[in-house]
Amino acid sequence: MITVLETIYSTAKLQMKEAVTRPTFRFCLLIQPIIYSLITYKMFINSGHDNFVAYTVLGTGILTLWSCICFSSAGDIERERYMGTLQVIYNTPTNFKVIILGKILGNTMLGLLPFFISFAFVRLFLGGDMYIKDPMAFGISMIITIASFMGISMLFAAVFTLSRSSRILMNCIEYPVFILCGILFPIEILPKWTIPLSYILSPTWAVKLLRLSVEGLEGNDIFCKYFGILTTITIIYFILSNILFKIIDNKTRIKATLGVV
Amino acid sequence: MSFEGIERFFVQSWLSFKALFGWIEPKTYFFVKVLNPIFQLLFFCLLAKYSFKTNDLTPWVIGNSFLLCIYNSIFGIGHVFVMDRYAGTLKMIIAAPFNKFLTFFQRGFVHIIDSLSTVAIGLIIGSIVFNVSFSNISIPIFIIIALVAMFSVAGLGLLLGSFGLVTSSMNFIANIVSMILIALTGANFPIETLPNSIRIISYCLPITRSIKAANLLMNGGSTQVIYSLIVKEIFVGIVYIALGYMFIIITEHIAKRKATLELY
Repeated sequence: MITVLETIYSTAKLQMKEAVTRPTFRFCLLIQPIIYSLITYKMFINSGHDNFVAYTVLGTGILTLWSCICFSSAGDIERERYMGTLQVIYNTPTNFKVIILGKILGNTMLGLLPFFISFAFVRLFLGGDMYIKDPMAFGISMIITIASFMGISMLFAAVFTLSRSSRILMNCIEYPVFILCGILFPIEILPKWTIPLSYILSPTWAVKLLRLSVEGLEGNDIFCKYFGILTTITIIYFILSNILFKIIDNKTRIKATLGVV
Repeated sequence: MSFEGIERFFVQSWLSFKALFGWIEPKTYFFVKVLNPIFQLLFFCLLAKYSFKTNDLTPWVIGNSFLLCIYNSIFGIGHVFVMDRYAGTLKMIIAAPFNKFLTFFQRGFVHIIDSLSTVAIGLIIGSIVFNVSFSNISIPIFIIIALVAMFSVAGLGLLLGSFGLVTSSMNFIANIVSMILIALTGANFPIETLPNSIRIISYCLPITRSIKAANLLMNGGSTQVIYSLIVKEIFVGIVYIALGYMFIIITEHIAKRKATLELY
């Protein structure tokens, strides 16, 4: 167990160092939250929300976290393949899934930075202020949000490894998730037929949970309900990714495609 | 220019266009050039619908449809030299006794035309989904505004592309510029709400005037003001092309001096 944790820790550390050297990731991490904050702040300033800054900061943070997943976690296996290191990673005595989990942890930790960048930008340059009515609930929501984003990253990493069109998919899943998960507007404004799609995506529930804790809980029932749904979906994602990684393992051994670009 | 030269210009344009995005596969084209721009447009229009509490999304459909040209004009034209570097042909292009700017321009030419198709798709989808009607406006003037917008953004793309000779981070630069265009051209919120210092940047950007002109046209605004905005937008495009020409000479010199032609 200690070895596994050590592997996750050192992989996450290496991944964080490696990720920031990539210009696109640096853009997602540092520039995107500032520009998205400006756009959403200016769009929401006359919306009538009394805590619209929280909407802006949370929305921008999650948008950017998702972009980090799209352009890093989801494409990490493909990237290793292009660098010629995938076979080496795959053949180390440590389980491949543990290494991928470490990479995803590193990306997700870095992906939290935009929340602070967005808040600092809105506070210092736009003079906006926000409040979190229930900090305890917010903290709990944030922890489960991180876990759920790691779960969905694992799933996408596996799906993209199986797909031959991973680079196209990577570029095309950003905006659909922004829309379907209601990151900056409630999903209720979307057509009814899209709602089931929203419900199977964990960011939808993560956003609902975070917003609820920012606005303040009137009772614990809804919070517990959202928390339960998000936890269940996250567990399902991890189970599905585990199955997919087994399929990948099987396929790569039969087809010997680990080094095929 | 002889007939052979003109033919070579268009053949080179087409081949470069096909090679850059790998559009031999219709699936790739559909995802990158049709589906993704549609989702981008839908996202910003829905955001406007919720934040501005309005059902008339005409300005956002127009503004965000115009912005869809960045896929070609910024990412496409901006990456011309970078892709040549990856293909190993950049050294040959630089060494060839041919006008570099013309080479560069011919490689971006089809992108300008293709960006019009993306903008048209955006306008059609936007008008269907958000009930935007174009029946009461002069369509030829609207097309002129769109063409002028594409021209001026292509000018910015040419300027950006010149940096491809000295940097390997073109994707980083293109992403920043495209986000700045989304934020500061008035497509999503009025630029009048920005501080003066940032508003100056907005007025220096392409598309700002085209979006304003198209919105004026939709609202039955003064034709004189619309024409004046079109002329100003053409001027902005020419300035960017001139700067692009100048920068290609400068960056070519720097690239040769610093040996960055093969900087990966």
